[in-house]
Amino acid sequence: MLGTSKKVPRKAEGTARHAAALAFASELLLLWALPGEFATRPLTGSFVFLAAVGQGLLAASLLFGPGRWTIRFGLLLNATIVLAWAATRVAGFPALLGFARLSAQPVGLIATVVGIVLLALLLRIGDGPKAERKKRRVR
Amino acid sequence: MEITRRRLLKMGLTAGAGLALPLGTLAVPLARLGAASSVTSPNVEPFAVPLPVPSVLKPTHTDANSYHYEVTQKPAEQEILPGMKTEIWGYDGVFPGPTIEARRDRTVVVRHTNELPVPVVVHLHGGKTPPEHDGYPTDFVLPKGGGSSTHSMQGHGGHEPMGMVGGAEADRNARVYEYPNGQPAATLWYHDHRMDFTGPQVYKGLAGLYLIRDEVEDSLPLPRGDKEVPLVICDRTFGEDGSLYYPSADPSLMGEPGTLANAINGFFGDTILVNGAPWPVVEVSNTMHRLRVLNASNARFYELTLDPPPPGGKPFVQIGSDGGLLEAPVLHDSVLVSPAERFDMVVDFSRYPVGAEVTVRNLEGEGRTRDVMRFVVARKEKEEGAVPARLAPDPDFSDPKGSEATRRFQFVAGGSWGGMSTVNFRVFDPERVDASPRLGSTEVWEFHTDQDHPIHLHLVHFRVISRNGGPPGPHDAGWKDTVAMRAGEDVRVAVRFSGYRGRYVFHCHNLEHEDMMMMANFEVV
Repeated sequence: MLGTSKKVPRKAEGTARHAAALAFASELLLLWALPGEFATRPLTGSFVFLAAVGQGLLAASLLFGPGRWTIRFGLLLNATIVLAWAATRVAGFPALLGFARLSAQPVGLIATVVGIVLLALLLRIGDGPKAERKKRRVR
Repeated sequence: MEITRRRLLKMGLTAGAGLALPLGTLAVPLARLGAASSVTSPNVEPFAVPLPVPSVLKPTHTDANSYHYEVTQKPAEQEILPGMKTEIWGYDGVFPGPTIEARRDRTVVVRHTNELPVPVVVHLHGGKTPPEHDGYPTDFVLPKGGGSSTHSMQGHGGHEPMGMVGGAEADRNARVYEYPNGQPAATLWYHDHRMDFTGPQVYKGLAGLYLIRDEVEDSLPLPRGDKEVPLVICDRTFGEDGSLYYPSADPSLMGEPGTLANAINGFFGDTILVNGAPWPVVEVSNTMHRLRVLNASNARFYELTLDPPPPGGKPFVQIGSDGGLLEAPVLHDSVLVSPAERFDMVVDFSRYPVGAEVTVRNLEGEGRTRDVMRFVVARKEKEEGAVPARLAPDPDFSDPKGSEATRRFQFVAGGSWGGMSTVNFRVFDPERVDASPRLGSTEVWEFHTDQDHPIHLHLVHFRVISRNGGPPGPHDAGWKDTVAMRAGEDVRVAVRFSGYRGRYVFHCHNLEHEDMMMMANFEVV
């Protein structure tokens, strides 16, 4: 399980709960897309599956006092989801092997927006411990 | 480690949300792929169903220079497997569609009305046709009630449909195609060419023969009448109830294009149909018969031979190819026919005793797909046909030495993991022109393939000038519009860009590859 040490301060717990809800929502959206995606494109389907697993683990971890590693994992995961979605819609991925630009379907779009909001929330949660450490150093 | 209620709850949530839920969901597509791989058609006794011959379409009216036809594309039920009803989509509700017979230089005008639930496009394969009548993949004839929205017609890459501009709904549900037929006698075929969905729509039945006849052919003593037999060969898989099975990503054919991953490089049916009948049988006299063979399969190659071979071997006398009659006949032990290719051949059944059963086998097939159909030499008859040593006048082949340009195209298929299929590593884009040959010019086009690809050029005909650095293969004779290529092959063709200016496509005629965007544009300027 992620983030068993160096918990975020109590103040950030409300934000963490919101982030957990969003991570869970993102997982459900990805799972909604998974059957169709995996049946037709196993490579992108595998990515969707792994992203859903990651969001599920993130959601559970965020609910129980997330540590720094949880935040880092969440940031990395959601940045990857957002970038992968954008890259496959703008440039095609990987072009050399013949991927076309994928069409922007509502479920993927919403999951990407959720990922962006999650990134913002995770950054906010992650700022808590940093700010405290700064304060301590000043004292 | 102390187990607290909080820790237990966390572990439970982690296991549930992080593992059980995704794994449970993943089981759905895995089961779908597994089920798709295990569909097997009901058993049919081979060589028991009589060979049907597609009817010839009657013109609604004719005038001095043209024949006028009306065709309605509609769903219908047809008995393909004995005792079972199969829903097909057919031209006039039959599969294969009715044969259109045309005369050289006399225009054929066909009004197609769409009563299917999806957009359609009609392409005359092998026809020298103006671009607006060629059946460009986005020149849709809309379904009834679907005239106002183009949303569902955005496929790979969200391309907008072309060729649909205004007009009353009745006009948008029908389209008039004009074929000038300014070309020699040949075996052509018409079939659906809808962007992203050609594979499933042809599979459902949207294909028919189109024969051009001319005075040169009339003057030859080739077998004719009931001794001229069209053979539209294709493979299909059926469900237990007799329904056609095709592994579409979206079976409604109005959403996500493409197939399930296991058919992305071609769907191969387990039942061989000839003229819409499974492994049919036909009685023939002990005389020459002209067989017009069309491979209308989505992806399957056939290497056809006769079993037993006639005494002395070489059962097939090829007299024509995609573009019409050859200069001189070519003898074959077997013929390799890739999807969309046509072989016009004569078989002399007088070489067999009356009572002989002659089975057409597919040397590329396995199990049930090794058999194609059977001829039974049932009676004696006086021979009236002959194959002259010289068939067509000088075919006026283009000279590659005078070519204005040499272009190279690599055909690379997407992997079953989900890549798109490409030409020169680029997926099809209706807006991008990949070659701009000059009208009247000859160019040398070099094709390289990573796996089996039948490569088809619209509008033009070409001559194979080399295969893998050597001379053309035994099946490359004559004018072609589709060339069979096996994995890793290099083929050079001399193409004459005559006919019309405008934008046309060239593509792999493995229809699953085509739908996964192995297609490109050339614009004759």
